[in-house]
Amino acid sequence: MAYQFDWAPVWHAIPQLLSASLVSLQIAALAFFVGAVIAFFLALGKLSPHRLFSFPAKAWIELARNTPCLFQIYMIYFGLGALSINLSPYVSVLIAITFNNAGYSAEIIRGGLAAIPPAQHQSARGLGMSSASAYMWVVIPQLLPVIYLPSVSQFIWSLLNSSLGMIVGLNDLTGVAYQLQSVTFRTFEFFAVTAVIYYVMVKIITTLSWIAGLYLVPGWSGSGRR
Amino acid sequence: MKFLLALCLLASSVGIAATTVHADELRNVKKSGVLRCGVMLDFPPAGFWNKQHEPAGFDVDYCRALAAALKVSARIVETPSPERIPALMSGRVDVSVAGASITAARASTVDFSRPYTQYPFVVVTKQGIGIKSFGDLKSHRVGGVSGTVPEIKLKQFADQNWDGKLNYISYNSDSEQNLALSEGKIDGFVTVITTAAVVRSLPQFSSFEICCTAPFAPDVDGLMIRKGNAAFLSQLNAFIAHEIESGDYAKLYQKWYGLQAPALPATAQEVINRG
Repeated sequence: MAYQFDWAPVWHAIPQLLSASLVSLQIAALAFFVGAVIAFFLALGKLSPHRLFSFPAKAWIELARNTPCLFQIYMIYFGLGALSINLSPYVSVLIAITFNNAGYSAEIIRGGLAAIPPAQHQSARGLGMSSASAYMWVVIPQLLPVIYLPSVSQFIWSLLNSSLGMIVGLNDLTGVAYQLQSVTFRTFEFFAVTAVIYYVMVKIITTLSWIAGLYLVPGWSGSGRR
Repeated sequence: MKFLLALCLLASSVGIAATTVHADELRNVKKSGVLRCGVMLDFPPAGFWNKQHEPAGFDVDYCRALAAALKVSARIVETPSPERIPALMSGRVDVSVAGASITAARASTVDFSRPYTQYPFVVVTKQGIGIKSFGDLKSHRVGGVSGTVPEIKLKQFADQNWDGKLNYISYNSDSEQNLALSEGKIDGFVTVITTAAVVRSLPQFSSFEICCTAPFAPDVDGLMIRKGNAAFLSQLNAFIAHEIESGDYAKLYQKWYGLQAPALPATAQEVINRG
């Protein structure tokens, strides 16, 4: 007997699903931007000749990139809980995705930095700029066009991975969809509509990013190395 | 002609003998000296295999008490949940002492005794948190497993009685819910008494305690026997009434579930009518 579709419970739940997707977007955005700032320093740290900086940076990047995101979320929620540090599901997922994001973004930035000749930084120092100013005004503007598209896909990655938060009871889009399907037994319908909502969100974000990139990213003309 | 008459008499006497045997299950049990009980032995603490590989549990003790009252010996026959009614109907067991919920559908196939036990929903919490009654959950953090009956009933109850105010986190499995309670992420959760008793007996959850029952309709269970055995049925009902009045039911309940024995409805029909 073929599966009988019943979409009614899903249509009734659309407002709930949409407000839950705001939670997903919030986590993705916060995790991405905070993670990006951390990632920049991690990239520099990894390139640094001093072990004091390179060791923690390498450790962070290795751990973030070589363990599953699910495991990272679980460790921060339940693992820290075993040490009596109890964080809410929202905060735990935020920290875990930020941690994960910083690791991946650090590699993207490191690759971008490698594309910029060291002469740029040295010439800026030669003109009397401090190291920080040299990075701020000379290196980073050249870095942005190179890392822009990979960074957008890293943002999308954060958004999609926030769905793993359901494992610790987070009420994001996936968490709410899962709870609703377990009560109504309309698994296929709920997951199909949730997938569509994620797809639409991602498409909107990539389109907006592309348009924003044309205006905000210096020297970027809409195409780029990925 | 005489031969035909003799044949008719023989046939009818066999017929009468058959109905006599069928209507007197109780007499058969007493004659054989053995009461065969169908018990679920994969459902602690109602029925399970203990460390010495012997059957143990509330239902096992109940069967033995019943056999003692009938002045026969008890034989425990393991019948997992889907086997309970088939084993009874095929004659492998005489009575099913297996926590069978009294439902109208089953009552059309078997006869239920009056209710002999009931599985309420209970609140599990940790020592030191201070939850003493179900109402205390309103001001504490509650956890549960996604899509389960306790979760559904809890949310319904909160909507009807507490204005929807409920600080609730939904986990994906029992193990995460238990871990959350032991780490102090939640203050309590609601589950059925049998699960609660098992969880509490685990060494890593030794600090858990069962505080109290939840006001959700419990699962009321009866003994099952084959239809058409009125004498056996009234004997079972008399035994159950005696167990309740003498306090043996309460003692057994306290022994296996660690909780005060809940009051039972007086007849199976009440439970069926309630739906």
